[in-house]
Amino acid sequence: MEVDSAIAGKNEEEEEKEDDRKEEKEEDEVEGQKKNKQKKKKKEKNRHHEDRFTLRKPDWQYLRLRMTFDPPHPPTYTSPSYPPDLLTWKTHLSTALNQFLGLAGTAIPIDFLHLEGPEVWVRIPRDDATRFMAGISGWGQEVDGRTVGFRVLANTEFLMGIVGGDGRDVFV
Amino acid sequence: MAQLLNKLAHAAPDSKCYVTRGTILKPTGSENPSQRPYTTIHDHIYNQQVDLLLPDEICEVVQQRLSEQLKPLQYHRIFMGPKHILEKEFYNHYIRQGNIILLSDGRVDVDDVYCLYDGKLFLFLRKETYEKAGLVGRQAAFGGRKKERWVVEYNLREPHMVHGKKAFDRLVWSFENVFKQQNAWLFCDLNQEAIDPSSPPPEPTLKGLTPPTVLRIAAPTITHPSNPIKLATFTHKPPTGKPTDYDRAIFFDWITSLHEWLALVSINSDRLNVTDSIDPLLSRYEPPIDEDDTSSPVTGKISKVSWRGFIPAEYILKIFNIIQEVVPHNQWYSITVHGFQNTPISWKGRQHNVVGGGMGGENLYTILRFAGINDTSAIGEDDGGDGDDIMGGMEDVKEKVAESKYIMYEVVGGRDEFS
Repeated sequence: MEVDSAIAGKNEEEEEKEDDRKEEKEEDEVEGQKKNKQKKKKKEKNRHHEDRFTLRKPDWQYLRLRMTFDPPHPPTYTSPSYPPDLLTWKTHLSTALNQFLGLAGTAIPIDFLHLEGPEVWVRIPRDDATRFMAGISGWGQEVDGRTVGFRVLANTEFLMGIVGGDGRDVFV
Repeated sequence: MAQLLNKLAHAAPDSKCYVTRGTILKPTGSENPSQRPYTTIHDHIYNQQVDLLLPDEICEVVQQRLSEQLKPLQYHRIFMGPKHILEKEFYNHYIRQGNIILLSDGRVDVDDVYCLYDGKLFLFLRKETYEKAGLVGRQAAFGGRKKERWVVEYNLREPHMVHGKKAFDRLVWSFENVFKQQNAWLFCDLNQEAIDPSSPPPEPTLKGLTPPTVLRIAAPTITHPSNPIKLATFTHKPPTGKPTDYDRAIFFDWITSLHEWLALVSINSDRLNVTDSIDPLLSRYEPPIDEDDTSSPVTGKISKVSWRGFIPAEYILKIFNIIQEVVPHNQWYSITVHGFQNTPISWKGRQHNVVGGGMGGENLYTILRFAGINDTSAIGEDDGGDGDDIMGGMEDVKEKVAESKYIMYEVVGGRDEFS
């Protein structure tokens, strides 16, 4: 993870410097009373001091995946094998990654965060994300007469980014 | 192979998360302070979902206060073309005099998308339509190397932008002859106070608008938890002495995992279930807890109150002020506001874009207010460390208890001018 606190800090410092300069100018022109007011203002500003920094390139990448079946299951269909459980997910994902990337692919650690119907939220190391997505999206295998595959529904570096959906359903 | 793959164009530049740590000031009278987090809320124009998370025991009080003080939000969905917003009566009533926000549907990287706020109309156009329209614009911030996208901006509140003036009639001509395509729009009148909820509008249209509209109401849905979940630690012990790089890394880790935890709470994740005992092969997720701290509870119930729809920033400010007032100081809450991924403008005046439906389109923020019992010492490591706080003396300490500490996360996709 990279953290960039310097930028925010710099800006604040610059602002303060500017304030100082202004103050110096006014010191020449105005009498004591106004000077005091200025100082008070500055003090107030400091009291509500805020820290600001930027997080970029975090350790993780979050994906929302759907397991697709072709031909698809009827909407209300359930069986012991559908919707798939996490072990099924793990097996299929490993097969896909193994086919595309070999041992290096199966070594990508996958943390399943949430399972909902045929969809999961997973967490993987950010550096492996491109490989991971390339590996699973091209894969398909026939299981019980249906071709199983994956779709990446959403993809983000900050999990909160895919919690809300894209908002297009509001227009419907 | 792997190296090659890593060099392939990642569809969007990296997303960023801006973190702000500070204290929330009290609004003076009806004026909100012009400081974060108020400015962040106010400037984020188009919002589609608001999630409020809070401990279950205060949910009822909050819920009651919200229903007393907050009218359900009314907004409209309209299927129309851009020319309809220039119809005289509608235009004069809502755009020139009133204050509304409008947003049209479409994918912001390939379609023509229009939006309006503060009387300013923005047209985000494909090259082809831009050239046909004959309106003066500039290149969009994320138009690609081939100048594929253009933006035309009009301030419709300027004195000469009225029916009968040349510049305006030129706009009408373009809208009638070039922008013929109709699509879905969202409309929200910011003057919600004037809408009387007891008498629903007699016709499903807005004043002076020919296409029919669908009235929608964004009322909060409340999810009570059935089971307690694993809680995270909200306190972070500042290292004594001068913070080292290692201390900082630990601190930033805590910040990110807190954000992750909040997201997991909003999707009601299986991993937070107290009975969850998943094999490390499938997940190694652990909520951020402090093993030394035995006083704070490890599990608890968290309620979620959420709004969905076309929610203007002004409405969110209202929600925020009510929550800030009603939630007692010894309790925490967090509020997360999600923007539309396909909005052409995220924060006021900042252009926004997204690639191929879903990459780099994040524009959202989370405000987490901490419980304020022992907040003078426990939260954060005072990063700046310039010693000004110590200089403040006793007065400051008293005030700090009354104020509330917060962390704000603003997640911004790689294709956004907000930086």
